Amino acid sequence: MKRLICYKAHPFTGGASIATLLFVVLGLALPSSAALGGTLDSVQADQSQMKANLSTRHAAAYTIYELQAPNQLTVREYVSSEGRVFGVAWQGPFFPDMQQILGDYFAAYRTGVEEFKRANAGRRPLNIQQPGLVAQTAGHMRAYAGRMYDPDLVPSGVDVTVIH
Amino acid sequence: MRGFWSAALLGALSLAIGCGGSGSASSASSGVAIIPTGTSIASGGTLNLSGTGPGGSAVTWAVSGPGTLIDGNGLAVNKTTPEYAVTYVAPPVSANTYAIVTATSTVGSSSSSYTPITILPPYAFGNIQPVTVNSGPSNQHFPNRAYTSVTVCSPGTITCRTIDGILVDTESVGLRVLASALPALAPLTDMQGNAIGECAQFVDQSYVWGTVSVADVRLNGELASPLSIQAIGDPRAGAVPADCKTGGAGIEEDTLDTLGANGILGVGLEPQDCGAACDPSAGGTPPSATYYSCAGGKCSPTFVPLSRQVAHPVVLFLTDNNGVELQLSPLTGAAPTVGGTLTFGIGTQINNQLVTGTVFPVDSDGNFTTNFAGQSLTASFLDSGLDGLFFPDATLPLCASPNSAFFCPDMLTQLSAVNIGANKTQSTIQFSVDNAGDLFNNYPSDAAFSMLAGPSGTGSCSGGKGACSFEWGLPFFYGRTVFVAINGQLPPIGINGQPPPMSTPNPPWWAYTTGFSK
Repeated sequence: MKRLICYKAHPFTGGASIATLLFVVLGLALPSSAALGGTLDSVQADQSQMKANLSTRHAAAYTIYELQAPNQLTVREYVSSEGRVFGVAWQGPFFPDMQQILGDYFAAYRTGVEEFKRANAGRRPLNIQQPGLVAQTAGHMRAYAGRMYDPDLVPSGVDVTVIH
Repeated sequence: MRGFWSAALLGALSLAIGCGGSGSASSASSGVAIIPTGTSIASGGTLNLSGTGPGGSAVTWAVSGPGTLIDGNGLAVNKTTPEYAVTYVAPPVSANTYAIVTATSTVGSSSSSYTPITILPPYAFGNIQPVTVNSGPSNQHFPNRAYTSVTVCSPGTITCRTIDGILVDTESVGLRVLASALPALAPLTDMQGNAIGECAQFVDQSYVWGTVSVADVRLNGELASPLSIQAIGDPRAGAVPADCKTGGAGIEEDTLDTLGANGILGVGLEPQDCGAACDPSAGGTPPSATYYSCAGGKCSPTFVPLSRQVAHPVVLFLTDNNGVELQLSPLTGAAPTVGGTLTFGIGTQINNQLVTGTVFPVDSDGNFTTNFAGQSLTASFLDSGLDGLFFPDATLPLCASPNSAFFCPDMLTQLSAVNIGANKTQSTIQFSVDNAGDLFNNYPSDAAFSMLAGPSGTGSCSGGKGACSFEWGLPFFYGRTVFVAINGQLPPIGINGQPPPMSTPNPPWWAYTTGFSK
């Protein structure tokens, strides 16, 4: 069986992930920029500039940045206390721009989707389980949801089921 | 915006005429009205029709296809003599036969409307048609897919194609057919004359792309005319937009071998595939990855009025328009084929009564709650378009990657879950999970598997947000009749002056019963 390359995130590449997401949910063009695996920077400035609905919730080992777009798409970023995005979850009537929210993990995701589809013809929720990337979907027309995370980046003691 | 889309409809119809169409089914745009619009009659039967033109004038009548028109004196209708009412007389038939009656105005500029008619063989129910689970029309081997057939006609004509291998999907809405399998259809156009494109995404990151096209659609004796459908892979839509491909991650399934079907018949809970969010009245920016205005091969998101969106065919039926039942024979284990039926209408005829069973009202996302293994799965649903049962479970082992869509337990595992219905009624479902790898290896020529299951996991189910789903795919449907009551339609109101056997809330809701009675 072919094994996928594990795309490790590099610290401090690509700029602010929240900025990326703000651009994503507003449908604006942005040069390729890290999301999953990326870093947190200048949230308040971006929030002010983009007028996106951003809310934050704090847990012991991480912070959730939730972005609600006017197009009914909600994206949540799970950021460790070190400022690294270790998981991204989304829900809405359609899929988000995966390249934007996956950043450096996009190529692995795309390959994972292709292998998943090739393994068994048919229709079913995604469940990609690779070293360095887990990606899952659920739902039906008008109401989809998904999450992606890098198990290696999840802070110790954090249950991955919090990413949703 | 109403004027905008009237113009759009006229644009589409002028194209339809160019493709060999003979008229308009829309009284609003042509000024000619016919009653009834689109119905079936029995072999050798008659159908009374009335029609008016502009200013309440009489209209001239013509029939295309078999059958004749007579007036109130029983005399053949002269094609040049205006009449307010005529009777269509069907010939005896031994198989479904199609005709079109057209009424044309005699005042002002010539305009016309048509009504499509299906003539049924003797003693046939027009509201039920076969469904088969088998390996399907493609060269790929797709497990657990229920297929049926649809007849698609160029609007106002008897130029029709009956297309089999159409996947029955209770969790999407609208008819989507490979453009290569369709008769000549005109795309829906906007005021600028731009074709309307559509993207439909599915849970496995796949999508179909094509035009919205206008057709007369026949499902046995039922008629939806005119119906907006998606013509999958229609080159007139142009290039796939980036948001449809979700930034390049999406898998295009616009061919027979990738889709594994000639089309998808979405018979879900909603009357349109998008709904109010795509109607111009929503304002703001049109939704992503849904409807597009396409010109010069490039497409940009657009609104489409509710009445022009890709619609649930059933809501356009003259009768039997409040829902469907999907019924499959019982199955334990694996089989090459399983039979079943798709029935239209709930409680509208003697063959579609909801007599017993639990009703499951749904939330705004179309979901109900399933309790399983200590989890309250608040976003659960019944999806005949999925090939297994998919649910979060921490104990069943996954099959090895890349087959991680399925569970591969060492031994057959028996489980149960509880669906929560109206007034907190509980319905316990017993089910079994077999090793998917063994199933596919041991039964390579089979297409139906009752014990196929896999994970659905997008995280914690606390608070019910996100995606805590028990996704009841096709294995759930074996040995059951599943009722889909469509949002905005009437609940069963009884027939022949009798109340319905069961009182039910206003749709949308699911209901299901066990047993195979038809």
